[in-house]
Amino acid sequence: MELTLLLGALHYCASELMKIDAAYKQKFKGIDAILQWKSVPDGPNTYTIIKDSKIEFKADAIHKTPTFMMVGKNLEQALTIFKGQYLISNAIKKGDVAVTGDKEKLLLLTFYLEDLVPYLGELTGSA
Amino acid sequence: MDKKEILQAKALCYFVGKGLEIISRTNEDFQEQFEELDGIFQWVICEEVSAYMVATKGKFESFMDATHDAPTVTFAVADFQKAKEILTGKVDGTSAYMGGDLNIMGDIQMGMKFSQLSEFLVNALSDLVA
Repeated sequence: MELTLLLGALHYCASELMKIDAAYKQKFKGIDAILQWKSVPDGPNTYTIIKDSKIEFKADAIHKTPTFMMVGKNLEQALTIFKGQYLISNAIKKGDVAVTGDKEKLLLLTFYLEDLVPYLGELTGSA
Repeated sequence: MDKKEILQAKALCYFVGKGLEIISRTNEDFQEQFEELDGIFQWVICEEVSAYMVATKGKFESFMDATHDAPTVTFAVADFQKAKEILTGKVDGTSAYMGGDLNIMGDIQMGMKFSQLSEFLVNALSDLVA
Protein backbone atom coordinates (compact mmCIF):
# COMPACT_ATOMS: atom_id res chain seq x y z
CA MET A 1 0.00 0.00 0.00
CA GLU A 2 2.75 2.44 0.98
CA LEU A 3 4.54 2.51 -2.36
CA THR A 4 1.38 2.73 -4.43
CA LEU A 5 0.16 5.60 -2.27
CA LEU A 6 3.53 7.35 -2.39
CA LEU A 7 3.83 7.01 -6.17
CA GLY A 8 0.28 8.24 -6.62
CA ALA A 9 1.00 11.26 -4.43
CA LEU A 10 4.23 12.05 -6.30
CA HIS A 11 2.53 11.98 -9.68
CA TYR A 12 -0.41 13.99 -8.43
CA CYS A 13 2.00 16.56 -7.00
CA ALA A 14 4.03 16.64 -10.22
CA SER A 15 0.85 17.49 -12.12
CA GLU A 16 -0.06 20.12 -9.54
CA LEU A 17 3.43 21.64 -9.57
CA MET A 18 3.13 22.08 -13.32
CA LYS A 19 0.11 24.28 -12.68
CA ILE A 20 1.94 26.62 -10.32
CA ASP A 21 5.55 26.50 -11.55
CA ALA A 22 6.10 27.58 -15.16
CA ALA A 23 9.78 26.61 -15.13
CA TYR A 24 8.94 23.08 -14.03
CA LYS A 25 6.24 22.79 -16.69
CA GLN A 26 8.64 24.07 -19.34
CA LYS A 27 10.94 21.10 -18.70
CA PHE A 28 8.23 18.74 -19.97
CA LYS A 29 8.04 20.39 -23.37
CA GLY A 30 8.62 17.83 -26.12
CA ILE A 31 8.70 14.80 -23.84
CA ASP A 32 6.75 11.81 -25.10
CA ALA A 33 7.60 8.74 -23.06
CA ILE A 34 6.18 5.86 -21.09
CA LEU A 35 8.08 4.90 -17.96
CA GLN A 36 7.37 1.50 -16.46
CA TRP A 37 8.37 0.78 -12.86
CA LYS A 38 8.58 -2.75 -11.56
CA SER A 39 9.35 -3.81 -8.03
CA VAL A 40 10.36 -7.43 -7.86
CA PRO A 41 9.21 -9.88 -6.77
CA ASP A 42 5.91 -8.64 -5.37
CA GLY A 43 5.28 -5.32 -7.06
CA PRO A 44 3.70 -2.90 -7.22
CA ASN A 45 4.14 -2.36 -10.94
CA THR A 46 3.16 1.06 -12.18
CA TYR A 47 3.69 3.16 -15.24
CA THR A 48 3.73 6.81 -16.14
CA ILE A 49 2.86 8.44 -19.45
CA ILE A 50 4.42 11.83 -20.06
CA LYS A 51 3.05 13.52 -23.15
CA ASP A 52 1.90 16.99 -24.17
CA SER A 53 3.16 18.40 -20.86
CA LYS A 54 0.84 16.13 -18.95
CA ILE A 55 1.50 13.25 -16.60
CA GLU A 56 -0.72 10.20 -16.41
CA PHE A 57 -0.08 7.62 -13.73
CA LYS A 58 -1.36 4.06 -13.71
CA ALA A 59 -1.11 2.10 -10.49
CA ASP A 60 -0.80 -1.68 -10.50
CA ALA A 61 -0.43 -1.87 -14.24
CA ILE A 62 2.05 -3.00 -16.85
CA HIS A 63 2.35 -1.23 -20.20
CA LYS A 64 2.91 -3.44 -23.23
CA THR A 65 5.40 -1.12 -24.93
CA PRO A 66 7.04 1.22 -22.44
CA THR A 67 9.82 3.52 -23.63
CA PHE A 68 11.80 2.74 -20.49
CA MET A 69 11.54 -0.04 -17.99
CA MET A 70 12.98 0.34 -14.49
CA VAL A 71 13.23 -2.65 -12.21
CA GLY A 72 13.88 -2.11 -8.53
CA LYS A 73 15.39 -4.70 -6.23
CA ASN A 74 12.67 -4.72 -3.62
CA LEU A 75 9.99 -2.68 -1.91
CA GLU A 76 12.34 -1.22 0.68
CA GLN A 77 14.66 0.12 -2.01
CA ALA A 78 11.73 1.55 -3.94
CA LEU A 79 10.46 3.39 -0.87
CA THR A 80 13.91 4.86 -0.26
CA ILE A 81 14.08 6.06 -3.86
CA PHE A 82 10.59 7.49 -4.11
CA LYS A 83 10.80 9.15 -0.71
CA GLY A 84 13.73 11.04 -2.21
CA GLN A 85 16.29 9.59 0.19
CA TYR A 86 18.20 7.98 -2.69
CA LEU A 87 17.83 9.92 -5.92
CA ILE A 88 16.51 7.76 -8.71
CA SER A 89 19.15 9.10 -11.10
CA ASN A 90 21.90 7.91 -8.74
CA ALA A 91 20.21 4.54 -8.36
CA ILE A 92 20.12 4.20 -12.16
CA LYS A 93 23.72 5.33 -12.62
CA LYS A 94 24.99 2.89 -9.98
CA GLY A 95 22.99 0.03 -11.44
CA ASP A 96 20.80 -0.36 -8.37
CA VAL A 97 17.81 0.06 -10.65
CA ALA A 98 17.99 -2.05 -13.80
CA VAL A 99 16.96 -0.20 -16.93
CA THR A 100 15.65 -1.41 -20.26
CA GLY A 101 15.82 1.32 -22.87
CA ASP A 102 18.21 4.20 -23.40
CA LYS A 103 19.57 4.92 -19.95
CA GLU A 104 20.99 8.32 -20.90
CA LYS A 105 17.65 9.45 -22.27
CA LEU A 106 15.90 8.17 -19.16
CA LEU A 107 18.26 10.19 -16.98
CA LEU A 108 17.03 13.31 -18.76
CA LEU A 109 13.53 12.57 -17.46
CA THR A 110 14.18 11.81 -13.81
CA PHE A 111 13.88 15.51 -13.02
CA TYR A 112 10.12 15.11 -12.87
CA LEU A 113 10.47 13.21 -9.61
CA GLU A 114 13.70 14.70 -8.29
CA ASP A 115 12.48 18.28 -8.61
CA LEU A 116 9.76 17.36 -6.10
CA VAL A 117 12.27 16.49 -3.37
CA PRO A 118 12.80 20.11 -2.19
CA TYR A 119 9.04 20.45 -1.90
CA LEU A 120 8.08 17.10 -0.42
CA GLY A 121 11.30 15.71 1.00
CA GLU A 122 10.66 17.20 4.40
CA LEU A 123 7.33 15.41 4.45
CA THR A 124 8.80 12.03 3.58
CA GLY A 125 11.91 12.31 5.73
CA SER A 126 14.53 13.00 3.09
CA ALA A 127 15.31 16.57 4.08
CA MET B 1 0.84 29.68 1.24
CA ASP B 2 4.02 29.33 -0.73
CA LYS B 3 4.53 26.63 -3.38
CA LYS B 4 6.09 24.23 -0.92
CA GLU B 5 3.20 24.55 1.53
CA ILE B 6 0.63 24.17 -1.24
CA LEU B 7 2.29 21.05 -2.56
CA GLN B 8 2.71 19.53 0.90
CA ALA B 9 -0.92 20.29 1.75
CA LYS B 10 -2.02 18.62 -1.47
CA ALA B 11 0.20 15.62 -0.77
CA LEU B 12 -1.25 15.29 2.73
CA CYS B 13 -4.81 15.46 1.41
CA TYR B 14 -3.87 12.81 -1.14
CA PHE B 15 -2.39 10.55 1.53
CA VAL B 16 -5.52 10.92 3.66
CA GLY B 17 -8.03 10.52 0.84
CA LYS B 18 -6.38 7.76 -1.13
CA GLY B 19 -5.19 6.14 2.08
CA LEU B 20 -8.78 5.88 3.28
CA GLU B 21 -9.82 4.47 -0.10
CA ILE B 22 -7.25 1.71 0.19
CA ILE B 23 -7.68 0.95 3.88
CA SER B 24 -11.45 0.81 3.59
CA ARG B 25 -11.07 -1.86 0.91
CA THR B 26 -8.27 -3.90 2.42
CA ASN B 27 -8.23 -3.63 6.22
CA GLU B 28 -10.67 -6.04 7.86
CA ASP B 29 -10.54 -4.31 11.26
CA PHE B 30 -11.38 -1.01 9.58
CA GLN B 31 -14.22 -2.59 7.64
CA GLU B 32 -15.66 -4.15 10.77
CA GLN B 33 -15.48 -0.91 12.75
CA PHE B 34 -16.89 1.37 10.06
CA GLU B 35 -19.14 -0.90 8.02
CA GLU B 36 -22.16 1.38 8.59
CA LEU B 37 -20.34 4.66 8.12
CA ASP B 38 -21.93 7.10 5.68
CA GLY B 39 -20.83 10.69 5.38
CA ILE B 40 -18.84 13.31 3.56
CA PHE B 41 -15.67 14.51 5.24
CA GLN B 42 -14.18 17.68 3.84
CA TRP B 43 -10.81 19.29 4.52
CA VAL B 44 -9.90 22.90 3.77
CA ILE B 45 -6.36 24.05 4.45
CA CYS B 46 -5.59 27.77 4.54
CA GLU B 47 -8.64 28.33 2.30
CA GLU B 48 -6.47 27.26 -0.65
CA VAL B 49 -6.25 23.49 -0.65
CA SER B 50 -9.32 21.34 -0.33
CA ALA B 51 -10.44 17.77 -0.70
CA TYR B 52 -13.34 15.65 0.41
CA MET B 53 -13.89 12.00 1.10
CA VAL B 54 -17.24 10.26 0.67
CA ALA B 55 -17.92 7.25 2.89
CA THR B 56 -20.62 4.87 1.77
CA LYS B 57 -21.14 1.86 4.04
CA GLY B 58 -17.60 2.27 5.21
CA LYS B 59 -16.05 2.41 1.74
CA PHE B 60 -14.28 5.66 0.89
CA GLU B 61 -13.90 7.59 -2.31
CA SER B 62 -11.79 10.72 -2.36
CA PHE B 63 -11.89 13.86 -4.46
CA MET B 64 -8.85 16.11 -4.63
CA ASP B 65 -8.98 19.85 -5.31
CA ALA B 66 -12.71 19.92 -4.84
CA THR B 67 -15.32 21.09 -2.37
CA HIS B 68 -18.67 19.47 -1.74
CA ASP B 69 -21.91 21.47 -1.66
CA ALA B 70 -23.23 19.66 1.38
CA PRO B 71 -20.49 17.95 3.37
CA THR B 72 -21.46 16.19 6.59
CA VAL B 73 -18.52 17.81 8.30
CA THR B 74 -15.81 20.23 7.23
CA PHE B 75 -12.44 20.54 8.90
CA ALA B 76 -10.76 23.87 8.33
CA VAL B 77 -7.27 24.81 9.41
CA ALA B 78 -5.93 28.31 8.85
CA ASP B 79 -2.31 27.55 9.62
CA PHE B 80 -0.43 25.15 7.35
CA GLN B 81 1.97 23.90 10.03
CA LYS B 82 -0.97 23.08 12.30
CA ALA B 83 -2.69 21.25 9.44
CA LYS B 84 0.48 19.28 8.82
CA GLU B 85 0.73 18.31 12.49
CA ILE B 86 -2.90 17.22 12.59
CA LEU B 87 -2.84 15.28 9.33
CA THR B 88 0.39 13.49 10.19
CA GLY B 89 -0.95 12.50 13.60
CA LYS B 90 1.57 14.56 15.56
CA VAL B 91 -1.25 16.57 17.10
CA ASP B 92 -4.52 14.97 18.11
CA GLY B 93 -7.53 16.41 16.28
CA THR B 94 -9.55 16.80 19.45
CA SER B 95 -6.76 18.77 21.11
CA ALA B 96 -6.40 20.93 18.01
CA TYR B 97 -10.13 21.59 18.03
CA MET B 98 -10.16 22.45 21.73
CA GLY B 99 -7.15 24.72 21.20
CA GLY B 100 -8.84 26.57 18.37
CA ASP B 101 -6.41 25.42 15.67
CA LEU B 102 -8.96 23.15 14.00
CA ASN B 103 -12.36 24.47 13.05
CA ILE B 104 -15.07 21.83 12.69
CA MET B 105 -18.24 22.82 10.85
CA GLY B 106 -21.26 20.57 10.54
CA ASP B 107 -21.86 17.34 12.41
CA ILE B 108 -19.46 17.39 15.32
CA GLN B 109 -20.06 13.70 16.07
CA MET B 110 -18.87 12.85 12.58
CA GLY B 111 -15.95 15.11 13.26
CA MET B 112 -15.05 12.93 16.23
CA LYS B 113 -15.51 9.86 14.05
CA PHE B 114 -12.71 11.15 11.84
CA SER B 115 -10.36 10.88 14.82
CA GLN B 116 -11.03 7.14 14.85
CA LEU B 117 -10.40 6.94 11.12
CA SER B 118 -7.18 8.83 11.61
CA GLU B 119 -5.82 6.19 13.96
CA PHE B 120 -5.89 3.66 11.14
CA LEU B 121 -4.39 6.18 8.74
CA VAL B 122 -1.54 7.18 11.02
CA ASN B 123 -0.62 3.53 11.48
CA ALA B 124 -0.76 2.90 7.75
CA LEU B 125 1.16 6.03 6.79
CA SER B 126 3.81 6.01 9.48
CA ASP B 127 6.43 4.75 7.01
CA LEU B 128 5.60 7.45 4.49
CA VAL B 129 5.42 10.61 6.52
CA ALA B 130 8.31 11.81 8.63
